[in-house]
Parts: sequence; structure tokens; C-alpha cells
Amino acid sequence: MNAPIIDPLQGDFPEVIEEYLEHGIMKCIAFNRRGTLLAAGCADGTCIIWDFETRGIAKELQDKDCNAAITSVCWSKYGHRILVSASDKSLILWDVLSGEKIARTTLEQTVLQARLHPGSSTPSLCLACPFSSAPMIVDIISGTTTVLPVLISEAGNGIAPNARSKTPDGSTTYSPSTACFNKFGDLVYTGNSKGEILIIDHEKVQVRALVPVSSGSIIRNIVFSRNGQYLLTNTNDRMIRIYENLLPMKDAHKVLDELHETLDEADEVEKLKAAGTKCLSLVQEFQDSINRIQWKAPCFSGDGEWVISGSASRGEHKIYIWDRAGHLVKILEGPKEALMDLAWHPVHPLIVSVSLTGLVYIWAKDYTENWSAFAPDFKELEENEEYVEREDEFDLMPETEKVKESDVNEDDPVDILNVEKDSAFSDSDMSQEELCFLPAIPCPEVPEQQEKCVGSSSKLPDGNQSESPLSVEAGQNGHAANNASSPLEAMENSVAGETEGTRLKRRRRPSEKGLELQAEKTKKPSKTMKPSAFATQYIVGDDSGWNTEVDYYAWLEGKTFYVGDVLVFSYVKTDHNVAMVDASGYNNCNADSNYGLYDTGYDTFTLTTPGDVYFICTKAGSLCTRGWSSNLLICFLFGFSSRCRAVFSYVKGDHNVAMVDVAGCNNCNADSNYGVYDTGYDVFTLTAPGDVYFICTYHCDYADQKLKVTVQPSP
Amino acid sequence: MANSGAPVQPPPPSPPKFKPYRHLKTLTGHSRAVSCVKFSNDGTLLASASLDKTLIIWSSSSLSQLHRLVGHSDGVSDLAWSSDSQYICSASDDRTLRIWSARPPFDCLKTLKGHAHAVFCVNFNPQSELIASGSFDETIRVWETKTGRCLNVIKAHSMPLTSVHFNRDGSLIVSGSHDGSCKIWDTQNGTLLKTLIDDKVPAVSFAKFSPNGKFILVATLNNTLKLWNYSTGKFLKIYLGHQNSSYCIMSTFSVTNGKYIVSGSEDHCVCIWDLQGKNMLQKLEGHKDTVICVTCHPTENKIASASLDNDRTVRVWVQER
Repeated sequence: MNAPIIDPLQGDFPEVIEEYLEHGIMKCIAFNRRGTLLAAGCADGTCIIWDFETRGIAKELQDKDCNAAITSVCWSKYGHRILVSASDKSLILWDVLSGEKIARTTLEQTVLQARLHPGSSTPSLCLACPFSSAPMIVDIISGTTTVLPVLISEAGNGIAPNARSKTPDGSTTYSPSTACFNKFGDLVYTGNSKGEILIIDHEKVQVRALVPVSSGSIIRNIVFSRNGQYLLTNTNDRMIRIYENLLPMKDAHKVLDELHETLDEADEVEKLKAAGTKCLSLVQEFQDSINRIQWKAPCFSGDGEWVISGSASRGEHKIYIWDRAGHLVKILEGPKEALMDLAWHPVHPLIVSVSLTGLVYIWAKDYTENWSAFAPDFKELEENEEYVEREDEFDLMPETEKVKESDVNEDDPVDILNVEKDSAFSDSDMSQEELCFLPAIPCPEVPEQQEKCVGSSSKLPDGNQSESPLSVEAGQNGHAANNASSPLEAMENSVAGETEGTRLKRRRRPSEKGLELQAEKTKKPSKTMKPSAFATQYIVGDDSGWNTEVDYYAWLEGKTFYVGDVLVFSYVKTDHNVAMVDASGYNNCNADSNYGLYDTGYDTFTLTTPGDVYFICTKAGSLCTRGWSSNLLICFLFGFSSRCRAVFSYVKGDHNVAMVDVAGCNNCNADSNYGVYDTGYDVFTLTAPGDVYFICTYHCDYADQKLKVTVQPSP
Repeated sequence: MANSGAPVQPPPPSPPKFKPYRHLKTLTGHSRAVSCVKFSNDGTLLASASLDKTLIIWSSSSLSQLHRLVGHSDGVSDLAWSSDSQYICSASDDRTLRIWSARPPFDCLKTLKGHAHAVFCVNFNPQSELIASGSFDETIRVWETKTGRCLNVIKAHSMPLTSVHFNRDGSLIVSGSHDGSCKIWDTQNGTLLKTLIDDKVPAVSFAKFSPNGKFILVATLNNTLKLWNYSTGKFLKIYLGHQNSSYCIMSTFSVTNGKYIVSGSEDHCVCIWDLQGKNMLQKLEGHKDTVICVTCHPTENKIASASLDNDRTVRVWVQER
């Protein structure tokens, strides 16, 4: 839809990681036909459906009987159903909209890859490629299976479909074979361990053509492009081959039947090979001739113009992009985590890759706003052009009258209703409505808090291991507190001589080392006093999130944090960030020496050891004109403190700070009090419980720049 | 590919002859100026928003009041229906947006906080999983309907925003502002794709995509409505004859029986133009103040209009049979 105004000079393939999705450990992914939803199979047997527009979770499909890792996910043609294969040998068919299971069957072997029949909108037939037996057609509702042939007998005594309806015994060894449907699902293309592509009519269970791959090595993957015109194979000789499909899209099996009648080779194998030459023709071969790397999860781009593949090397997240003419155009290099699965968005130049750690990375174009976006009359040029001016362009008295400004005839009818058919979906018959989006139901705001209550009420009083709630609360002065835009204090409370900051581990983007640590933790449950099942997730600031508008002392009130609890910082990525710091970093509002600065807009921290933890935002506050300083820092602390300090940091000259009594605060009068400070960084140590008031004498009257801090006695 | 200017189709069948609209009913219920009125996408409901801090949901068939949505602490400037007509999002001067259930029990499901100034305009994307809002703080915010999370803040204009609208597939957002420009944004990453400025023009008071997303209907505070081809940056049609120099009047396309442009006017009328011929076909009189908003029923030939403080009503108009 936005095609007419997208800059044509920018590349068509992704370049950088734009975002990543995190939920459990995702293993495999698939886009629906329009690319609006992304299904991801997880290690715990759930299937997550991501809304690709919002990058939020639209649905979770989980079968209570299945908690084994998912090996493949596949959408039905119009997106109403999802087929999931799991490592507990089961196949589950889901209805996406209702989230209900339609059918589940268990096979004798784990299915590595399952594909729904593409011809029907409510398919029950699927093609399953088990771990070490021949591919089979499974009717998932009735549970009947038909094993497809994978080898042609050398004897040449006609076609010898290998063991129909019979599971292979131990004597026959298969390496994992791979297969896929053609576009309309009347033929199955199988790659076998002898390096042959077999074209099978799955209704007749008969091999109809054979195409030998030149090297004869095991075929690992076989994939059609979306439009069905190209076929790709990935073989053990570290080569990706692209074939052009010579058969027509529709009724390909009939054409094959006719073809057979015209062939007169005596030998069946020869005949199949002859038929094969009429089916596929090799157009391109890709390899990395220097590193000779093995390929993983190759696929076509949505429009079939590009071919991508991951590197199968360990600890490497590399994606190679070729154009179909065979040129390597780009190698995308991600984090040092092995690549598990790969998909190109059906419409947009976006790649989605799954890493070993279970994160899903979204690769997109590094879009830069061009000048013509700002100035409507600008035209972007690819390179400099010599400008030839019009004959009279610089004349003082132009000879020709200026041509009429608008070359649009205002009387031409305009069409405000009709839409050009999207060429990417030329074959869509609109008889069946496509499921593109799951209804976005605003989840009510209350349950979140309820959940929290349940979490905290279920906590066991487990002695000194638990952390005390914060004993300092800072409230804003009376009327100021009612004003949503009242300045937030640049105030820190801190513990003097407190123990060093607690070690925390970040859950997002864990490195492989991070994962190990996590495993270690689960192995030693004794370390955590509270069962992890009771871990509570706190969204810092609740719905308001992490920003300068929230009174975090009020938020902390009444909350007790236990080891294993998770703190979520949700904020506008451009406005704020979050850093976990130690006590000195907290006092000095300095995130340098600490545990890294996060700015994704949604960061999660798990509390791992008892003690105090400090978080700060180091960004200059957007409320600088209203606050105490132009470099507002929000700080707050968790845990118990016997002494606390209030630190005021501000632009010297613009503000000052005076500690006053209640009358001084009400009258904005600092005379009778404890002195006015104006160094730009003033520290007050609060020694006794009670209320303390601070004002800025310049701004107290008319900007309400005052602050009340209530120091509570130690518990 | 895009045949922007010259149409290739044979001349369209002659449009049905325009039948004038007449007054059907006046809906009273608001105690202050009505700022916005919109039919739901399924046509069963009508919602109005007002400076009296409330919204009212009306049945569009019986035209009776079904429910009043109370919660905002300041006047409501705009409202939007989700595609499935289940939810209403309202934009208020109290700097928040609220998502309401438009079905019993008519709860307020979410309060979207983040804007630093009055929120002036709001719209759902066609899939209704996103909400875009424009504010006097000169930003567009994009929110996730489900969680109420703010996904993106676009520092869009140098003056307050007057309108935000998604195109047909939700890939683009158009924004209009008092700074006189109309900008088109990529929804996904918030990048600016195109700016439309007409030098001499003052504030853009309203901007909206055509139903097919190819054009933008732009109102400017010099009594002008224009149909703009944004990919070429050229005006296709200019509609004149109404008065609009101070308020952000919402206009719309009427497509149920012939193609018309409908807009309010500061001379207390509702104006209807022929889309192609640009000639004004009818001026509906009856309101006692500026008509600030008009909406067309999605399937029936029905128009609802809302008027400001001297009037405080919504009027419903139907085409004569």
C-alpha cells in the first residue's frame, strides 16, 4: 500500500536487527500468508502467535498433553489453522481464532517437519517428514497415514514404492528425508539420501519423475518459492541449488501423466529421469567456496527474488543473501548464537531468524529518512546529473508564459474506492475469507494488579532472607501531588555505607554464558528461599511505567521483594533508559562502573540475591524546564535503609535548594531555616524520622517547586 | 503501475441522481459543545464526544441514548471506533486517551497516559490492534490496543496536531498540523515518508485517507477542502463554498449512494459536494452553531452532524426516498 512513496533507491533486503521477540525458548517460526502473524513453536510445547504489526503476543496455543519441544509450525492457506509437530511424536492441528485444538495424532516417530496441504483452506491432510523414515501423508483428523516412496529400486523393475502403509523396519536405514508440496498440493517433491529429487503423485502414491542432483549427496532441505516457480535444495555437498519448475502451476499431475504417455524409454528409471528433465531445470548453484560452510534453513524471499540461508556453523548467527542470479549481496551477522530457523516476510523486506537461545530476531532495512521526505519538491538522484536549463529559464523576461502550474485536470474523475489487487497475492480467490488478524481485545487494567496481590499473598514469611520494604517514602507536597505535571524531584535516597550492589542477571538477550548461569540457578533451588513458582513479576510504576511522572516511593510502599521476583521496566525508548547500579553509582547517578545500560523500552531484571538493588535512568529528563535541574535523574532504591540522603542535582544559577520547615514550605520562605544552597549538587543527610521539606526559592511560589520527604523509622 | 492521473477504465456509469437530505432527528444529551460524532463501522451505533467530559453511545436505528461514558476529567476532543465496533477510543484534554467497551457493561478498559498536553485526535488502525493519537504536545503516539503500551512516539510537527488517520491496510499514518503541513509516516518504524506543504496555506485542520488509501482529503483554515494525491504531491480536486477559518472541522467521504464529500461549516450548515464535479449539492441548515463534525453511515444514506456550544446537539439527516 505504501509502495508509491517508498524510496526506490533503498535496498530491497534487510540489513540490521530492528527488534527481537522474546517469549520462552522459541525453536521454529512461520509467517501466515500475508505476513501479519508470526507463529513460533517453543521448547515447552506452546505455540506463540505474534502480531507482527505490534510485535506483541496475539495468542498462545498450548495443549496440556504436549510439553515437548515443537519441531515445526505450518499455517493453512488462509491462516485459519496451524499444524504443529512436536518432539513427543505428535501432530496437533489448531484452530487459530478460537485457540482450540482440532485434532491430535501421535506417530511412531518424531516429525521434523510437517506441512499442511496447501490446496484447501481447511486442510486435514498433511505431509510429515519423520526423523528417520520416509515422508508420509497423514490425515490428521482420521489418523490414517500413507508412507511415500523415497527410493527407486536399482533393479529397474518398475516403480517400487518402498513399503506402502508399512513403517520401515530396522533393516532400511533412512537419513532424515525432506519433502514439500508444490503450490497446489497435487504433487510432493521429496529429496532422498541418494541425492535424488522424486516427484510423487501422493494420491496414487507413485513416483512420477526423478531428478538426480549432480553430486548425489544427501538432500537436507527442499523448499518451493511462494509463487511455486522455483525450487531450492540444500545438499550435504554444501551447495544450494535453484531449480526452475517447468510444470504448470495448476493440474501439474495431469501434465505429468500426459508426459508419461509420450515417453517410450523401456527402462522405468530412465523413463522417470526423462520425465524429470521436463519438470525441473537447474538454474543456479550457491556455495561459499572459501569457507565451505554447511547451510541451514534456506528459503526464498517473499517475491522469490532473493535466496537466503543461515550458516550451520556452531555459535554463528550468519545469514547469507543472494539474488537469484547467483550474486552474494549481503552477509548478515548476528549475535554469537547458532541459528535455528529462518523466514523471509511474505511481503516486506524483513527476515526473521531464531537463535539457539530461543530469541527471534527481526532484520529490517536500515531505513534512513531521505531529504525528499521533508521537501515535497525534491527528487532524489542516484548520482550527479548535468542539469540543462531551459532556454529562457534565467531570462529576466521569460519569453514563454509559465506553463500552467498544475498539469492535473481537475475534472478528471478520481476513484476513491477501488484498490489495485496486490500482485503478491494474485492467486487469492476471495471466496474464502482470510484470517489476517486476531482480534485485539484490550485486556482490562485490573487483573494485572490482582495477579500481583496473589503473588505477594502467597509468599511465605521466610525470615531474614526476605528483604525489608523500603523505609523511606517521599511524597510531594499537598497540592503539588494532585497535579499530574508537578515536577518530579531530582532526588535520591540512599544508604550510607551500604553493602555493595547486588548482582543481578539480565534475562533479555542472554548470552550462552548467561544461559548456563540460569541453569545453574535452577539446579540449586536451595539458594532461593522462595519456590520460583511463586516469583512475582512487578511492573515498575505499574501502568505508568518508568518515567519522571511517577512517584516511585509511593509505588514501593507495601511491596516486599523476594529472590526470584522479576522487575519489569517499561518506558518510551527514546525518553528513558534503565541501568542497574551499585550504591556509589546510585549516589553519583553514574552508570559507568556497573552492569550495563538498557534502552530497549522494556527491560526485565530478576532479583537473584538478597540485598539492595539500585536502578537509575541516566537520560536527561524531558521535564527539565519544570524540574529542579536540566539533568533530572530518577533514582530509587529497594531494601532497607537506616539513613538516607537526599541529593539535589541541578543547573547552578537556575535553581537552588533550601531545607525548610512546614511553614517555610507553605509560605515559600527560606529565611528562618537551615540555609540556602546553590552549588548545583547538594546533599542532605536525613537522620531522624519525620517530615522534611525542600524548596527552590526561585520557583517555589509560582512553579510549586517543593518537595516533602517523609522519613520513616526503621522497622 | 499506479495510474495516478489518467483513468484507464471506461467512463463510469452515470452516478445516481442526488437526492437531497432532510432532517430526521436532533439528539440532545450533551451539556457542552459536541466535539465529535461517529457511526460505528457496523452501522448499529453512533457515538458522540463532548466538552462536557463525557461520551454518549446512541443506537443508530432508534436514535435513543444507550449509555453515557463518564471518566475523563476534561473535555473530549475526538473519538474512534474499532473496526469490529466493540471498542471506542476517546481523546481528551486531560492528556489521556481511554478505551471503552461499546457493549454492556460499557467499561473503561484502559487509560493511555503519556501525552504531555491535550490529546486532540485519535484513530484505530484497520486491524484495530494499534491506536494513533495526536496531541498539542506536537507528537504522534502509537499505542498497542491490547496492552495499552505506547509503542512509538513520533515528534511529528512543530505545532499542535489536528488529525491522525491510518490508510486502508494500516501501513501509513497521515498527520495534519497547525504548522501547515501534512505528513505521511511509516506505521511500523515511525519514519517520515512524505511531507505535503502548500506554501501559502495556513493550518491544516483535518486530514484523512480516501477509502482506498490513494488520496488524502485535507482541510485548511482558508475555507478549502482538497483531495490530494500524496504519491505525486498534486491536488486533484478543490472543494469550496463552506466557511472554515478557525475550527478543526472533520469532513468525510460519502459512498453509500453516489460519491460525495460532506463537511461541516462555520456558517452552521452541513455541506455536501459532488466528489467528481466539485459542485456543492446541498447545504443542510438547522444547527445553531458551527458544525464541527460530520459522519456518514457505512451502509445507509444517513449523515450525523455535531455542533458547538450554542447548539450542543447531534442532528441526524437522511436522504429522501
